[in-house]
Amino acid sequence: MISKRLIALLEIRMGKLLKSIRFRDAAETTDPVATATTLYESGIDELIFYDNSPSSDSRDTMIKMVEMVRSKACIPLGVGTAIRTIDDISSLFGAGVQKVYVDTIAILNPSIISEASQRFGCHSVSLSMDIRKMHKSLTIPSGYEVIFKSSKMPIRFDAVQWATKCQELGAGEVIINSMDMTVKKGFDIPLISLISDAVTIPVIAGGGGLKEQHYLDVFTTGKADGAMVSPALYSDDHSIGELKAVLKDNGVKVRLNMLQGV
Amino acid sequence: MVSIIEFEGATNAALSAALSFLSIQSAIIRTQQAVAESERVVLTASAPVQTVVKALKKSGFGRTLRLAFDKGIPILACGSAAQALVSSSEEGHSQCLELFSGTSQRLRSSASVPRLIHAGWNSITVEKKHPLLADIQPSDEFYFAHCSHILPMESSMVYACSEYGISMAAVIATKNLFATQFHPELSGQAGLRLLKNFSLWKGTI
Repeated sequence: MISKRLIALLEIRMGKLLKSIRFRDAAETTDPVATATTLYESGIDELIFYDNSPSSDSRDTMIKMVEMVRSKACIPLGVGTAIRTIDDISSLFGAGVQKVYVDTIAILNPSIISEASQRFGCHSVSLSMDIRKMHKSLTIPSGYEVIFKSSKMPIRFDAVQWATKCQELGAGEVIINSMDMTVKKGFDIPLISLISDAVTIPVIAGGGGLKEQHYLDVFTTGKADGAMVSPALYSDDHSIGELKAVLKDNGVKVRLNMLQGV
Repeated sequence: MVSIIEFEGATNAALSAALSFLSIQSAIIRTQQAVAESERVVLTASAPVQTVVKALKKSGFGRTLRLAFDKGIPILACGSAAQALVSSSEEGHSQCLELFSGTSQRLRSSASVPRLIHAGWNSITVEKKHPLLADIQPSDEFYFAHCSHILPMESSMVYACSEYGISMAAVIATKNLFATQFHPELSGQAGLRLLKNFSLWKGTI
């Protein structure tokens, strides 16, 4: 049976972590490569680097960083960065990335999703959605609206319709970020469950939660295939291994046995 | 020395990195002659199987791989590169490279298969002993990312299975060919152990 995935999203600005992190028995760091290596060794299933740089020429810095992480971490890597053309995606895959995260490009240039999926595989493009709860209406029948932060266009999309539309285009995964929730509140379980039932591609709960119970809920009631883990659960005195152990004890299948040598 | 075949749709960066992590010498090769002269050959891809078949045929690697297989050169094929070696594919209804009899079939939706993409970590059940699976533990998991899977003609070629609503072939092997539906180069320590075993394999079962 397939395991539920725990994913760490590292926000990067100009080649450094946007927020510093401190692991058990280690000094605080903003080094993304060292952080990614520690997370890999502690059993994270997947890593995402999300580019938060103000400059749009940051892709080259990102590529160099990915190449360095690639040499240390033998797990899938994803990148969310400025993507305009299929060649941008191609250069990321050439550096060792397995999937790219897209949001507004899906509206501006939807054919890029189909093209990338044809060229790099059915699981190569992840659709990232920022979602806000609304009153149900003709435009927003599910009561959940997609918010395009970086877009200046006055567009309104229903979250369920947008997810299924992008699935048709060739998106191989959908990431759900609820704008109504915080790490403290955990995941929006009804929203995640709603989208899980509507699509046939894997669903990832974004944002993260602070408590182990949040993760149990998102994998059982929410039916998510994976979830982003907030740094609060893997830094300081906590670890991915401990979270996985709790999930396993509660009947959620997760990947263990990570540390056995080669 | 491990030769990694470069073709359109190949995803070699992770493979090169994994081999270099293991201090195993590898080289990216681009010519048919280089394949023929290789000690052992590996190819990996996650592109749709038709894209891979087309690229391999176009570059002449299809025929060269057949010759390498007949010559007994150990071959490791991963992901959709493994699917490209079967006889035919449902995607595009076309002929693949025919290194072994079987088809590549799309995952079908059912109550037990709610997602039509098998993406993530899954355990494998070893059905038959093989040198490359020598030290794989029941708790080891491997990384999969695919929406079609291999149905070999002869079930005796299935060395390991994975369960995803249905039982599917995870490892197919015959003679000097070892094909995995998963990506060992992305499968943590378990994948690294498999790659290390491949680097020492003489091509016999």
